[in-house]
Amino acid sequence: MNTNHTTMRVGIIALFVIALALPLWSGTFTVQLTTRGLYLGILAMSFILLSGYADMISLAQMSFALMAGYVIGIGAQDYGISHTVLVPLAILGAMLLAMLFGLVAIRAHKIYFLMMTLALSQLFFGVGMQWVSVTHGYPGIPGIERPEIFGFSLVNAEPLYYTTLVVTLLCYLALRRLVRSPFGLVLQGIRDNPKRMASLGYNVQLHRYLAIVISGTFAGIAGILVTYFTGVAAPSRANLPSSVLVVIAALIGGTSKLEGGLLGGLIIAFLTSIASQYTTRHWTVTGTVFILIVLFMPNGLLGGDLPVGKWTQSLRRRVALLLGINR
Amino acid sequence: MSSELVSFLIKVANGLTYAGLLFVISSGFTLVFGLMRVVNMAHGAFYLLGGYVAWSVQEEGAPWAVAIAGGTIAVGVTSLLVQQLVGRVKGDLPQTLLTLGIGTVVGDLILWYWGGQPKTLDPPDVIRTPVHLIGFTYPGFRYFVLVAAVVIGIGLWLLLQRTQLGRIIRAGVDNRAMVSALGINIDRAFTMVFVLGGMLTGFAGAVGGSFLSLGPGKDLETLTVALVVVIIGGLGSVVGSAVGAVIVGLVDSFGRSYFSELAIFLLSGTLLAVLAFRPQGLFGRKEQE
Repeated sequence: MNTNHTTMRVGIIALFVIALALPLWSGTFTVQLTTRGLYLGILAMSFILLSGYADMISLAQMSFALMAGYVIGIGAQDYGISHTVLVPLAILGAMLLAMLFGLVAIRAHKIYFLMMTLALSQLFFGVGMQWVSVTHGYPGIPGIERPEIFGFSLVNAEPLYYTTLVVTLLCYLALRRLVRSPFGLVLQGIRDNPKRMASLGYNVQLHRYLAIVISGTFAGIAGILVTYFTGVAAPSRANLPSSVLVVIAALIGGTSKLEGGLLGGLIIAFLTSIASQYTTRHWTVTGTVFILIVLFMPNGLLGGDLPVGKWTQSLRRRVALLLGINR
Repeated sequence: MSSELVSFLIKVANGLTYAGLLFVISSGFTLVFGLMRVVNMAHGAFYLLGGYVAWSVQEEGAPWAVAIAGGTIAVGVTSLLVQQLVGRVKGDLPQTLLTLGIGTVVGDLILWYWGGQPKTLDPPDVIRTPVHLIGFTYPGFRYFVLVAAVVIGIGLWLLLQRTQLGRIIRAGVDNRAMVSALGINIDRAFTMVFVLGGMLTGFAGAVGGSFLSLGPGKDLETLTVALVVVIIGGLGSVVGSAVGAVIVGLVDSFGRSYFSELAIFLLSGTLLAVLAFRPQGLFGRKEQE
């Protein structure tokens, strides 16, 4: 274990402790905003798993989130199924949709992949809008109630925040494990040189397909949190603007690391909230930030475009000294 | 003529005239993609901009034709400005992401300036009078759109096959570096194509705004149909766009009347079926890795 990893670990534990204590010193509004930032973070990480580790830019992540939302909303409101059953079903639903989308999208590469995922997710949005007898059309399914877990009701902001925090941490750890596993390494090899990996005997398409399915499953997990947070499952969630938010979050943080997604998710949650306090044109603000990022900081905050990288390096060294960790 | 046959013909006419609009919408999109490999994500916003500018020009009392020209030019100029920005970024993915940001901003500013109320342009009576052809009376304007699409299609074909710019574009699609090495200013060709694509999109918006209405959400709807049309037809192929537009137009028209709320599944199914057999689209060429 090198210093880099240890300081990263110390940093993450420190952040987690701060996050645990957040409701103690901040108001409900900040807690809710952070909850939103966290699930955006999971979505951005699911995007990064594909874009950063497999070179596939997907604009379909929000479709998987909406799919999970539909399973919960329709299951609870129209069929009265218990949430204990619905949550795993929702994850399964998102996974099945990802399996279907993956079958089509896998045949396309790079820019074509992006277009294909956009077309698929816009068609899914169309299904949500037009298949009124099942999806309830444009307004969707409102008033989805938050369940209880282990006897604790999630109705208040704080328990939902803690649930989201734990789920986010688990997703992060699982994804981190995944990208460092042999599977993750093969995926990165494919990203860098698909022909070489194919000639080494790896099934390139199968690895890419599995990455799409896994990423879609994580987007579905985030979708469950989104659904409980907002209480609604409506097609606009799968529409392009929602996907744009996920892409911006990932790009701001940096798509080379999973952590970039978490950072970006939080930044986007706070940025859009602050912007909408001052203007109704928060999409203009968000879009402008996006343009500036693409123009001047294409690798994102954690990608080394800013002197922040050097700054964190010296901070890391100091923390390492402080904790008495040798190189 | 029997009434079943007439209602069938009306559905065909609905499908074909809608296909005309779809072709006009997607031609600019596919032209830009063909040469520059940039998926113009701002396409839908450009469409709305063209429509709204034309609407405002007509509100000022100008005739419809002038309004259409206004919308076309406005988006042409916007494209020129956007191209300056897009040209600064290297690589097709960053360029595409940039247009995504631009589309978001332009779409939001349009909503701010023109508001959320649906708006429609009024075409002149000459082209609006119902026409009685092969047994049924049908809105003349829909035929006009079909004719306009055919004219644009032929014009684009002539441009690509018979002019110097067309030769440069076709060569640029195959090998950008080689064209550049031959001393041709490929950047200028890019700019011209981007502006031409923008003008076509602006025209599509102005005509589309007289056909259907303009309103919030139309930008993404337009981007989606353009995507589906060019994916079915094959990216970068003008002929493919025409065929894709006819397929989507007919599927939409018949789907809506026979399957009502499940029509979207029919459209998705068509897309999947085409891709299952020809991943590059009907007229697309195999992508180079």
